[in-house]
Amino acid sequence: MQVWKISLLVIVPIVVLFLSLGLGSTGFVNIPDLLYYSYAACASALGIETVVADHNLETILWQVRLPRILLTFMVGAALAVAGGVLQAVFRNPIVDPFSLGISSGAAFGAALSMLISLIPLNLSAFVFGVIAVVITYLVSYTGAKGSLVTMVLAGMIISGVFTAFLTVLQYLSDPYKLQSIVQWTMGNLHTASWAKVRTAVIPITLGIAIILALRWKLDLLALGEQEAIAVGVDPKIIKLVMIGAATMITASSVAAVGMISLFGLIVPHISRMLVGPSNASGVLANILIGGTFLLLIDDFSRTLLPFEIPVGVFTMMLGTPLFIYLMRKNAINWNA
Amino acid sequence: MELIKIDRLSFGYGKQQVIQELNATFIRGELSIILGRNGSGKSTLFQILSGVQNAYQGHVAINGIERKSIKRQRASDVRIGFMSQFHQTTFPFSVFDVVMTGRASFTRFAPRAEDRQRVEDVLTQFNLWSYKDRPYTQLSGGERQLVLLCRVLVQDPDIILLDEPTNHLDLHYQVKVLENLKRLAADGITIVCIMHDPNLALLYGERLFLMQHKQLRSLSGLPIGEIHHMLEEAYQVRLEAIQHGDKNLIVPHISASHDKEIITISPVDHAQIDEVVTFVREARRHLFPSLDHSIVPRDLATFVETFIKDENGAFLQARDQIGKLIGTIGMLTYDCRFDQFDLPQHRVTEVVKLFVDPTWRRQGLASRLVQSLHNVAASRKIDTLYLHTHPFLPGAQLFWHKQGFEEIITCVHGDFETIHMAYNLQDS
Repeated sequence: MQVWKISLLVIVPIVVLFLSLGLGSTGFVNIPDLLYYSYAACASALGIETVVADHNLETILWQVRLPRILLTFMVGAALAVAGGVLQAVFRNPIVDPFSLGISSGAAFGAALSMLISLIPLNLSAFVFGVIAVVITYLVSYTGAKGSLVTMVLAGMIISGVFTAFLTVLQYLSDPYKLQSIVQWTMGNLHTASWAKVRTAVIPITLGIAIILALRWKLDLLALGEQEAIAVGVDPKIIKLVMIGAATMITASSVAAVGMISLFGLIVPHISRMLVGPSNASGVLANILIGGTFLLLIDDFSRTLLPFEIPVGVFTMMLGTPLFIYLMRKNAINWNA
Repeated sequence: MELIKIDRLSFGYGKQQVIQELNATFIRGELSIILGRNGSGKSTLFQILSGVQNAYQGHVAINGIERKSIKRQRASDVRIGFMSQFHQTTFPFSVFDVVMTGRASFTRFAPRAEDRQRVEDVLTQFNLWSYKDRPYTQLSGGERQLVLLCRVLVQDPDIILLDEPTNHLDLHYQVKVLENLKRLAADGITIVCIMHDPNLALLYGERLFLMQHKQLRSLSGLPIGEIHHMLEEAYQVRLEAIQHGDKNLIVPHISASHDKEIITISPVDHAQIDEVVTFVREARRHLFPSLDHSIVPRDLATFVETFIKDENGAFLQARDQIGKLIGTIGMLTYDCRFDQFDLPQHRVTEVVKLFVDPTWRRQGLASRLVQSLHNVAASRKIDTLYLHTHPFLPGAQLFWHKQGFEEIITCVHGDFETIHMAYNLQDS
């Protein structure tokens, strides 16, 4: 990978993260002010007295915008990494957390725990995400050579089943809870808070860390099970760990902000176009591009119109034409 | 020294037995080559040796250790590299990355400098270093096969199992790969190779095996005449052995057009009945293994009455230039024993016992026998030729179609699904 690409991949996210702080419905903050507020925050953390012109703006910056930005970045990175990992493990460029049923399963799990608050939302989302992907895998497993198409079809069906269950839950729930479930399934970043960041940060960083540590094995998995055995590696354990980690970060993301469709499918393809097909660099690119891209989409969704467009709707609206373009241009290289 | 010792190995997929009581020994530092028909169980044997299939009976000892107890990932005792027959990848990984995956069992996390060095060495050795950044998916079949071979080699294996390593390669690469394999074997690596070309096998193989009848038979040390005969039987084609320097080569026997003139088709006379009946019973045993062959079928038991004395009966035989019996066909009065259909004409005969020697198949002999029978039937003023065949005989129905027969009905008699067919001689 060229040096300019690497530096671009690192610098752009930092700039976008910083500038996103200035955007929002309560007004734009220009760069000098932003720098000053950041300095003031750092200074007060160190115990130095500083004078801030607007205390409301200060609260908005640190209590509303920063957690939202961090959560968005994390979720974007998580979905993109999960998508890339699943595409490699299942040797299939058209799977993503959504198409394998993880998202629908996790959404159902989360809605269930919203209705009956017996189990924590995160855990419930995770458990049902795992259940969904396991069923998908079992349904499509046909011996040594699992077909790429059967897996996507199985995922669609399992996704459909869990969406149906979710509808049943929505039908049974009272209007107040119904609204929160519906809003949440559309992908809602506006409910971000420090509490949500704290709940999501551990499973997501842990999952991404595991994937980062094992990312050199992804190319091997992508060549197929027999090819791994052929060079003396038992792929089963790595495969399980990878799918587990991908499920964990997807489920945590879904639990935190709801369903954001297509995102985990598209970003790995963009990464592959930028840094090549190798998963060792692909995982890193997915983190940076995924986080930045979702952040940009969120910036648009909260500034473009006077009201906020749910981010799930926005990724679908942006993602579809982009994906069609990539497909027509044959930039997506698949021999499925 | 023997590195791999296989003792009474049996394996089957479900009910279908693929390998039965197989014994074989592979010597350290030798290039062994296995020949055999498609589907004869060669690839299955490789799956067992490489550890993909573990549900076998018998013993497979590698370096004295039972195969099942060799754990992957910490294969410090013995490293087995395996190159399978079919491989397709979805992602356009670079050649370097694909070969690098061969080093995966050496490192837990990131590859180290020595891994990169090993990849570079092996790629350079095969003149592929300039390809290192090319997408693997855009290579030709032959180049891909070489890359996969490099991928197996970078793990410094003790044993390499190669399933048809030359099947996509042009002559240049075939020779190159085989010379390299020979050199690797000389360096002490044990190589077992499945191949289809008996001549490359004879030229390069230090030890030859033939997979046949679910077993592995050693061809090494046998006289060329014997090998010739065994290969002819295994591949079911006529072959010719040719002297080439101090080596022997085996090539397909070209059946030139004059061969057809040498074949004679004639009615069976009394003196030949025993020979013909033996031929037919043997052929029947091969085609219908599930039938009870201790009983002589009635038409054969009453050969003279059924085929020679009866005015509707006829039995033709085909013989090659040296008078060897190579094909038969007969017809007899149809006894109307099937009531599922009616044949209106009053002179109906049933076509039976069309058998052709395996080495003469696919050369039009069966059609010639049917044609001759047609002529006999026409001269006897027969109205309709009737016959039945079975869907499990590959190509049988299509064959009879080409001879002008049409289906009447398909039904099940006993264990067999049966197609009844007829040919109206009066129409033509």
